Amino acid sequence: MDDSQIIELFFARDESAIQAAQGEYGAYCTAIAHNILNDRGAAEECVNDAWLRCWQSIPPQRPRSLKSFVGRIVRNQALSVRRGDTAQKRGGGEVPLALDELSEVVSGGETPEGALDRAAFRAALNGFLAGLPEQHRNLFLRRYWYLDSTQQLAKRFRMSRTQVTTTLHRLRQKLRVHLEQEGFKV
Amino acid sequence: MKNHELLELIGDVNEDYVLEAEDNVVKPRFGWRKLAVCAACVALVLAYPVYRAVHPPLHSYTVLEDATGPQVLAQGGSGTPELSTPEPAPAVDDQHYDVSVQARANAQYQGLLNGMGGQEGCEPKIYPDWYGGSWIHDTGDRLAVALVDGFHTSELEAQIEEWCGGEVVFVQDMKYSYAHLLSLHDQILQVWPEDNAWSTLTSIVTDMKANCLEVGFSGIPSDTALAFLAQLDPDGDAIQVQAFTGKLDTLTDEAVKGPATNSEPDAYAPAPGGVTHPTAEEGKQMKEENRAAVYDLPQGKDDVIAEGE
Repeated sequence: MDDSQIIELFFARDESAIQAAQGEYGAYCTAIAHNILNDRGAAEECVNDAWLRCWQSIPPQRPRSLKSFVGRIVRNQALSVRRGDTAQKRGGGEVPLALDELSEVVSGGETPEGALDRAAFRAALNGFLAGLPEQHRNLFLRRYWYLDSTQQLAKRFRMSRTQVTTTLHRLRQKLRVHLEQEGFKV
Repeated sequence: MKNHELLELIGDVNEDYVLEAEDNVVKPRFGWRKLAVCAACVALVLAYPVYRAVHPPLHSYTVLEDATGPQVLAQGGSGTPELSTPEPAPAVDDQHYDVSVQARANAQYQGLLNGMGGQEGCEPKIYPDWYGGSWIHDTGDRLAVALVDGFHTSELEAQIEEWCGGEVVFVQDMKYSYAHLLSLHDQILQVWPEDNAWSTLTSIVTDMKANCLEVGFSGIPSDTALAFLAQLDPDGDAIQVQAFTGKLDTLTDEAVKGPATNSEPDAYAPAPGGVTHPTAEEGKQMKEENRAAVYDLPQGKDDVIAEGE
C-alpha cells in the first residue's frame, strides 16, 4: 500500500490506516526511537504514541511523504521522552554524545523567548545542507537527525571511525561559520 | 543557544534531505585495483605454462670447437655464448701400482657387487639408492665407494666394508645415485633411435667421480634433444652435454679436458676391473722381471718398450 492510499484511510478515519502505516514504516520508526532512547521497550512505546499523534494530525494535515512525517513525529516524541529520562538520571545511547558534539557549534547561552526565528533558522540549516556534497550531507543527517553511532556510520559509509569523527568535526565547524554568516548568534 | 535546542531544530530540515539520508547506503567500492592485481597474477600463472609449452627450457651444453683450438666455447641453453679458457687438467699422481695391489681393489669391487645383489661378480639388476658409484682409489690399493647424500650411516659403512672384505674409502654427499644416472641413460636410449633430433648423438658415458652422465654430440644438439635433456635433468647438473663442432678425428682428451700437465701418461684411476697403464720406466722393469705380463699400450707408447727390447 502506498502513502496516498494510507493517507486516504487516515482521512476516512479508518483505523486500519494505523496498521497499514505501521506495516510500512514500523521498523523505520522503531529504529529512530531506539537510536535516541537506547531501549527497545521505550522505543516501541514511543512509536505507539507517535501513531496516536499521527492519527490526530491527519487530517487536517496531508503530508507529502508519510515516512518523513511519521519519522519526524517519532524523533520529536523520543527526544521529548529522552529529556524526561535525563531528568530522572537515566541516560546512555547516542544523544549525550551528539549533544556534546553540537556544543562546539552553539555557545550554550539562553535564547530569549521569541528571539529565534525558527523559519529563518530552518532555512539557514537547509542552506548549509544544500551546500554540502551529498555524502557529507547524508553523514551529517545520519548523525544528528537519525542519531546513528559513529560505528554505524563507519559501516554505512564504508569509512573508518576516525574518518567519520574527523569529517563530522569539520562539518560542525562549517555549520558554525555558516550560521554566523547568516546572522545567527548561536 | 543550547545544544539540545539545535538538535531539535535539526529535526525540522528539508524532508527530502532526511529521506535521502535514509535511502542512501554507500555501495561497496568496486575494487578495480585489487581486481587488476588478481587478474595480473592469474595471467602470470596461466601464461607461464603456456610460454613453457611453446619455449621449453633447454639444457646447457659445452661446445668443443677444435682439438687444436686454445679455447672452448661454452654456451648456456638459453643464454649468449661466452668464451672461456679451459682449466688445466688436475695433476695426476706419480705413483704407480703393481698388479697385486690393484687386484685387491678389484676383489673389493667384486665383493661389493655381490653384496648389492650381483651374481658372481656381475652387476646387480637394481643398484641400491645409496650407491653413488665406485672406483679404485688414488692410493691404488683399495676401492672408493660413493654414498648418496642422506644415506650415510656407520652401519652402512660397516656393511660395505664387510662385503668388500676390508677397509674402503667412502666418498660422501653424492647428489645422484648410480641407479638414477643409469635410468637417465636408459631414457635417452629409449628416445634416441626414434627421433631424428638425436641423430648427432655420439656417446653416453657415466662419470661416477663427477656424479653425472656425459652426453656427447657431433655438432650442436637440436633444441628437441636439449629440451628433453632439460626435462630429465631440471637442476642441470646430472647431465653434462658436450657438442663437438670440429672434425671428429681431432677430438682428443686434451680438447675436452684441456692440456695435460704431465708429459707422460701416468697411472690413473680406471673403472674397477680395468687395467692400469704402466709408465715407460715400469714397462722396462716389468718386462725384465716378468715377460709374461703384456699390456695393451696405446699407440705411441710401444716405442718405449721397443727400446727395452
